[in-house]
Amino acid sequence: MKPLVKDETMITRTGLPRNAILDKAQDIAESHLPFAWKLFPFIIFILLLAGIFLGRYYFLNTHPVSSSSFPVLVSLSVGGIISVIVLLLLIVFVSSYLLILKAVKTLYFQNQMFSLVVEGGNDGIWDWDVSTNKISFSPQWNDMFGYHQTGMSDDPNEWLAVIHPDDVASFQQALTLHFEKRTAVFRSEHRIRTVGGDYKWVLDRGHAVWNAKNKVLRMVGSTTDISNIKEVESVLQGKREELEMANEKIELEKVKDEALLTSIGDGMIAVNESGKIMAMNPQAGVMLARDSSLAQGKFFTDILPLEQDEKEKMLILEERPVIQTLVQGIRLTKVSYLFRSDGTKFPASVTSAPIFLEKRIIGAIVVFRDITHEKEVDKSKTEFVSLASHQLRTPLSAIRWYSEMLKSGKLGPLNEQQKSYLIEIYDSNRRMIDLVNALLNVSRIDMGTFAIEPEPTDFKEIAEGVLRELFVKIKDSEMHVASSYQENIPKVNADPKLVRIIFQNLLSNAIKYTKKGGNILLSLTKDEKNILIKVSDSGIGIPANEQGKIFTKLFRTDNARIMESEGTGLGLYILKSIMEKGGGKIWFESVENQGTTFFVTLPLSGMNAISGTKDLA
Amino acid sequence: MLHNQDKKILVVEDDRVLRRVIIDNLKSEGFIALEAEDGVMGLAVAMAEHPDLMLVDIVMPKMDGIAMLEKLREDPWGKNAQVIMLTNLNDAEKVSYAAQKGVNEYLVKADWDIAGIIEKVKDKLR
Repeated sequence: MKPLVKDETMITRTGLPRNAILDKAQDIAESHLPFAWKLFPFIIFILLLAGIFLGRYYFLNTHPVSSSSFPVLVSLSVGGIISVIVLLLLIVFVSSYLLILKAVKTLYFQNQMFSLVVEGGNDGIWDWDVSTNKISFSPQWNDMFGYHQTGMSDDPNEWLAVIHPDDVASFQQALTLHFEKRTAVFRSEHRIRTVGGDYKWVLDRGHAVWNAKNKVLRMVGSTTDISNIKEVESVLQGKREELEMANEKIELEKVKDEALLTSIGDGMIAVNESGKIMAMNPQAGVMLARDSSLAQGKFFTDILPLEQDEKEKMLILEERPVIQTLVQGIRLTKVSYLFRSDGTKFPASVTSAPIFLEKRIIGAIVVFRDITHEKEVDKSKTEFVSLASHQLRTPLSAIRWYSEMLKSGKLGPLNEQQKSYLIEIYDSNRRMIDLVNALLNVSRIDMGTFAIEPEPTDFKEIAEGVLRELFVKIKDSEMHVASSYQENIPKVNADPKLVRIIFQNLLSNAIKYTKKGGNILLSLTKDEKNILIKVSDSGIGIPANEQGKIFTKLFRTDNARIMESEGTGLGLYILKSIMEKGGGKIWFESVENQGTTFFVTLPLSGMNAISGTKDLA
Repeated sequence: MLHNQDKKILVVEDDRVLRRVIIDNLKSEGFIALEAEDGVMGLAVAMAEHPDLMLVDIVMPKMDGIAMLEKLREDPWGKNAQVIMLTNLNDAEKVSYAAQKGVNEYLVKADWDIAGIIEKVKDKLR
């Protein structure tokens, strides 16, 4: 047997170097040798002397006639022979002594190493003497389960009793299999109850010692705490299940998406950040007269090489919605003319939206719809609106102008009743003109044909103009109107016609829905980014339950209907639409019977330009 | 009022009622008011009478106001004649087209009172 550790300079756990341990081992070994063995050389020496004397005595007895020297020689040779024999015995003894010494030393050293391992390691060790049915546990074992104070009982049944009831059967089976030599090593994973009453997962490994009759004499084993591993395993298992569920969900979503993509009537093309097609639905193939199944991996521009804007002007690459989306990460909806593979084209509403992964653009989705039919409907709608505009407004203008002439008195005096009737005709006509204008505006907004044509615009000038126009109404209703304008408000790039509509609507609403003698405050301010229009009144307010619908087309609140029969329910809808298209915001604060404040902000950087074919009136 | 007397104004408007009220107002202001009910007639009267100013409607039968304006601008006299487009269409495209053809003013009828229109006419002739 060789020592387990060869490093001469190794410092052992006892603090002594290896050589010191060996010396100590020798001491111990020596102290354990029978004292008689130490006397053996003396015994041999005495035996040698005894042999010499015995030889001499024997010779003298058997050879009575003595010669002077011979007997000495003989006795010496007998003694010598015995000495040689004894010497041989001595050699045998010494070498076996040395061997035993070496074995004892090695054993001691290994024992030291063993306790080092046992005490220094985290595993608990148990040693079960099966013949006496006693078991002992290492301090680590006791520490592991909190038995360090009391110590675990040496009764193996107690050991069995701390194993989790659910694990006892498998533990015993593993034990039986090993006792019957059907497993090379005893191995069992089970839970052991700690002093605190909870359980720890452990791995037990052990090995039995059998006698010649295959009866188990002894079994030694180690206990490893694997509760951390078990915990990790259970977390892993949980994660695995979550992952499986997520996978299932993704699969389901994928199937749904695919079904959706193949079934929708719109064409859809998904591209990656370099503009290569990742997916194209069959409908896109039908619309572009291309095979959608061959599109994957091709460049978007291979499938859709040409695109024109709404006015049929050819778009350069940078102007195309998909490129704008990929470069700027913005979502766009535009009317474009798309080209089929045979060179023909069709108008389409194209929406292009970026796909983000952790704020990075990784591609874009382009959805397009053939709007040939809508274009036709749109055209006839536009024609109808144009017709209605002309047909309705011509007689309205005639009524207006004729009543104006009568009112002017140029054609002779009217009596008071005639004059008041004439004013009713004139006012009703004026309302009809406003209504027709509002309807035209709404249809233009709804058709998306209204234009925003920004130019440097002085908001204060427009506000004052509108206030002048409303002067008569303000005077009639005895309204106190105050206005405040922050100094140095720059001209903002906005459509003056629309700005006028904003002031006109907000102020006439304030006048309309405030009782005689009420207060109205108009203010114009700016901050770093926006110009802010604020119109407050001390009017009837907007009931809380109707505030959500206030910007809806044709909606009027109940209290507004009662207070004022005039009103179309279109004004705020128009304002909201202008804000949405122009890049501004409109909101309000209102308490019923106390008043309302409307806020409008427009960016100082200006309104979005929209090239439509119609101005709002 | 007297200084208006030698000024000839041509009103080209297909709506009889509107035409009448404009004509009556112009006359009461002392202008010589001429009238036509479509573009073809309007062009003929314009060439014959060389009015100082024309009020021309856009949507009319036979020849619309835009077409009439185009024809007028081809004529040596007509290319510098004063024209106010008077219409109910506030169609951005048509307005910009009319502007290209050198229309002097563009008025939306429903937005103007009659006194305001007469003021515009006086303005242009000043």
